[in-house]
Amino acid sequence: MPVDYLVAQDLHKSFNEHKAVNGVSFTIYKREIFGLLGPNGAGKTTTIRMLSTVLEPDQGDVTIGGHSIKHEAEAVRGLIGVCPQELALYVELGALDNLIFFGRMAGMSSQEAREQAMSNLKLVGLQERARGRIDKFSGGMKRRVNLAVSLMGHPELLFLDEPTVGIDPQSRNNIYETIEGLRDKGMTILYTTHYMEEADRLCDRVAIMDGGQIIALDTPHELKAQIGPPEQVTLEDVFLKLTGRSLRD
Amino acid sequence: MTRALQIALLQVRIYLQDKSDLAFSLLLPVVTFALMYFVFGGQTHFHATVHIVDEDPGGIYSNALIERLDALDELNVELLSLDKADRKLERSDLLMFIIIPEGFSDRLASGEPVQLLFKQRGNGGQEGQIVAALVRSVADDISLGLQVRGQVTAALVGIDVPVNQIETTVERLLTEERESPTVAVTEDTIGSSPDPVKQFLPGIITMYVLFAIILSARTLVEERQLGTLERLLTTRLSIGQLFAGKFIAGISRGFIQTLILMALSYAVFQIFTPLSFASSLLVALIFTCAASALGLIIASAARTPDQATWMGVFFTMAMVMISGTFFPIEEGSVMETVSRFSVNTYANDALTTLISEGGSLADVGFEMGILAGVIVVGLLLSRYLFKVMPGGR
Amino acid sequence: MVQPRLVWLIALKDLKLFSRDRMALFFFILFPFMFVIMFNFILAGIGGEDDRLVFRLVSLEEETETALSYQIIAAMVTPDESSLQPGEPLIIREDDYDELRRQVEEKEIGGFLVFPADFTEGIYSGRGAVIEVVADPEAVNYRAALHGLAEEISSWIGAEYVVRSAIIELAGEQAPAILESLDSQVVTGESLIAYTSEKVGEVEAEQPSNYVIPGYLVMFVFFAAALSAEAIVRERQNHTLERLLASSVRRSTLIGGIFTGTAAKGLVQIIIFWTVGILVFNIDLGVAPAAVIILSFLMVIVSAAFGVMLATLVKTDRGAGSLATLSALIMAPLGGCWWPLFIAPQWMQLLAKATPHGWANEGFNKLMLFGADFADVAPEMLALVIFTIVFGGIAVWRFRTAAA
Repeated sequence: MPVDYLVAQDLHKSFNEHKAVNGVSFTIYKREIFGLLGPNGAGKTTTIRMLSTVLEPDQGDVTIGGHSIKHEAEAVRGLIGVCPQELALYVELGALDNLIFFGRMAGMSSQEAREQAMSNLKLVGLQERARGRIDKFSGGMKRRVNLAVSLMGHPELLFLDEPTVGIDPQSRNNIYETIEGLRDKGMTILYTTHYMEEADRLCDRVAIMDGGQIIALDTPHELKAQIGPPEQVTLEDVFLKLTGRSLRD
Repeated sequence: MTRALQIALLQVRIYLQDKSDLAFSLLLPVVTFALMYFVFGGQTHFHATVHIVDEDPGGIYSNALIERLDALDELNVELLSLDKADRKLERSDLLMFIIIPEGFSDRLASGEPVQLLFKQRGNGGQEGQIVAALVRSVADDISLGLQVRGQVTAALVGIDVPVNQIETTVERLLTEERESPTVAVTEDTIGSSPDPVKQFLPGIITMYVLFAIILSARTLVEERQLGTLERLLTTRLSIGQLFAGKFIAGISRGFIQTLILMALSYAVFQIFTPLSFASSLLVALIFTCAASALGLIIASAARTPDQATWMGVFFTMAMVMISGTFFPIEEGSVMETVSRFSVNTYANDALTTLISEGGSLADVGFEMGILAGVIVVGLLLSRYLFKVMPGGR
Repeated sequence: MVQPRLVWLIALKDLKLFSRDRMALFFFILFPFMFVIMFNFILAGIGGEDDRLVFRLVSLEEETETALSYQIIAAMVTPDESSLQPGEPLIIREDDYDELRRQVEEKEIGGFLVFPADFTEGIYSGRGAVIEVVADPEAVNYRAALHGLAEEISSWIGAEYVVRSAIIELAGEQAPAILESLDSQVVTGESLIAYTSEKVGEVEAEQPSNYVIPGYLVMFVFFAAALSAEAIVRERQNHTLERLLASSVRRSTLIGGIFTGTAAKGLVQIIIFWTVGILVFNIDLGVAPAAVIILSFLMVIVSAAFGVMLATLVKTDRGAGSLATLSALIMAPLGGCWWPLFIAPQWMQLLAKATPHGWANEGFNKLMLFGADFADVAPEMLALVIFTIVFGGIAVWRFRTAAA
């Protein structure tokens, strides 16, 4: 029986006159990889920022692990890890230094942070380059370090915002395997991407956003079945049918 | 608090690893101080150019006058044509020149009087009057030599002494007199000479500390752009702790810089006592707190790293210029009032009191109070302006 | 081969970017004038001091008929100030030594000359004597003048001594008789060399902007060009340079365009500086304004070459910014941008020649302060050309469109 882990209720957020998120509600179950798809400007990143307590919703609330982001934000932050789309790393420092630092920020002791840092680097296949400077890493390596940092502090819920942008297939595959491994170990993951095959492969359920609202939410199989035989239809077909083919700014 | 210190420690590490940053904050103050010391500190001698129109070229006495003037440490000789000299005087490109008239040497050789003409504007300016005094001194000396020869020759008329023996004897005695004068000139200076080290050191240190801290505001804006700030806020770190960390980072970096520069000054110039060194460090610490608070204002207000850089450089240069770092400010002048708007003024005054005047911390209470006020106002203002992202916390 | 049209388009793009960067515009065009205004204000009137020098003489001897010091003072004191020629100092006898010392301590006067109590006795006994210059150590100029006067007095007395010694040495047994027949002052007060003054007008205070504006012009033109290095490196980092090469732009065109853009920014700066300088601050371009313009142009060219060279020496835009700031803040004071070079010691003036700033400032000072003409600043112009060739050569040699 799936257990609710994240419950978002009627989220709204505006910037000046622009309504970025307009009444978004969904539930993510524990140990689920939940995909959040949508064209550019759909409101995905704003939604994730609200869920990760960086932005305050104008309306609505989210509970994560039983804690409300409005009233128990600090408790929520203790449960989450965020892997942003930008490479939010200190490039002048080494990979290990970055992980230890963010681990300390997450409340870990020095010893704990060091141990987990090494473990996370091993998980993403970078243990040999632990001391290397980030600015000397390839794009794929930087993305893997970015992911490793988001795992510091033993989060129960991980937000992955387009974690595989601009990297080679090997690094991307490494990230997929890492994510699947994390889910198998009990982590809950919210995953956003523009690559439909990723969502198809990784996600247990997928929500499609457009214009600040969720326009579809189901398993990839059921979404495909809505428009044709699932073995012949791709998630991209579903996406384009639901969101249209016109370009988004 | 631990998290705040962790953030500060990270920034200090990055600073210590950045060679160009270290060069800027340590090497540059040393170079600037050295330059100012040598330009303004060694000036215990008058130096000027004497402009001469020589209408008696090749004449023995005109050449002697020019050579002896050129040999003076105080003077540089520039020879000009009359037209050029007149033109420059007309335009005030020079305030005085001297004309050695035609036949100067021949007339002197035959014992006839001659005239040197000083062509000038007004009294020739202060420098011109001093140059004229030096020229007269040398010219009179040449004249005296001739007069001495004349007098001795006249006194020995009727006595069988060869002329060349008179010449040789007089010349020798004149040389001996020049080397070991009957009446020596000594000097007694009253009051202290300006000590360039004590004069410039506080200003240079505070200037570069302010520069370094303010420019490091850029990194905070860069972090905002890169997303590392936002990332930190998804951990258990509160905004207050993040802010405190950045504030302490600025102080740490500024204080390390000050400590190194002051320790170097202590070792090289020995201008401190242990007590004045400790007191100066305390003043420097308060100053770096104020500078860090001001840096946070800039980091909070700037939207891009380039904006932060421009605002930082403009702010720092303005503070430095009006604080009298490069030139003394007269008491009671308008500039003194203007200088009160610079944080550097208070830090420089406090350091000068401690280093040059042998004062104690009690004597700099006012300055410390002002700096403390800047810290409080700066922190409040920057905290108000500080946002990680638009619409955010 | 350079493609001129493309060079111009690249330069225009850079100028456009510069014109949209309000902060850069403010900093490199408006901000320097804040310094100019401030220094104009602070330095106003300097160089206009033209009060007549006053020399004070005091003797510590007992005033008797034979006291030499009083005879000297009497001979030197100005009887009537109105009879003095322009520039001739006023010499005053003073009697209160302690009061004079107090005035020097309080910096009310720069100094005075004192004849000690044993002056006459020292001379007549053959022991020798001293004249003491008592002065404020900060009054460098006045001290030099007092020394000059003291040396003059010393010379007169020395001359007396030489005459007597020469007679003793040469006249042998007849010396005493000869000496007895001489005047007490064998060297008459009248020198063979007389001095006259011709006044052609009054002293006008130097316009501070004549040396402040060129100094800050040089500093900020170089600073702007050096900071262009940051923009160039940024273009390398975000691959726009590479993209240009992937189109029909040749490497030489690219370098030419970047150089021209940087130089164009400098030209905008100098046009504004000189226009405002002439119209608002009334600066004087000297007898050869064309030389000032050419020197300015050469300075812009060398600074552009310097900026492009800097971009080839660093890998990141942040490094470029740091190096630019560092080099600007070292070369500017060394090269005479913050204070006129001619007040620095000789060896420092020599050291300044290691910087293009030093040559540019020297040229401007010669033209605008000392009335030099075109030929007088040919060495400075040549030096700037050589710097351009050196910096430009390094830039061309090292220029890369992508990080290694």
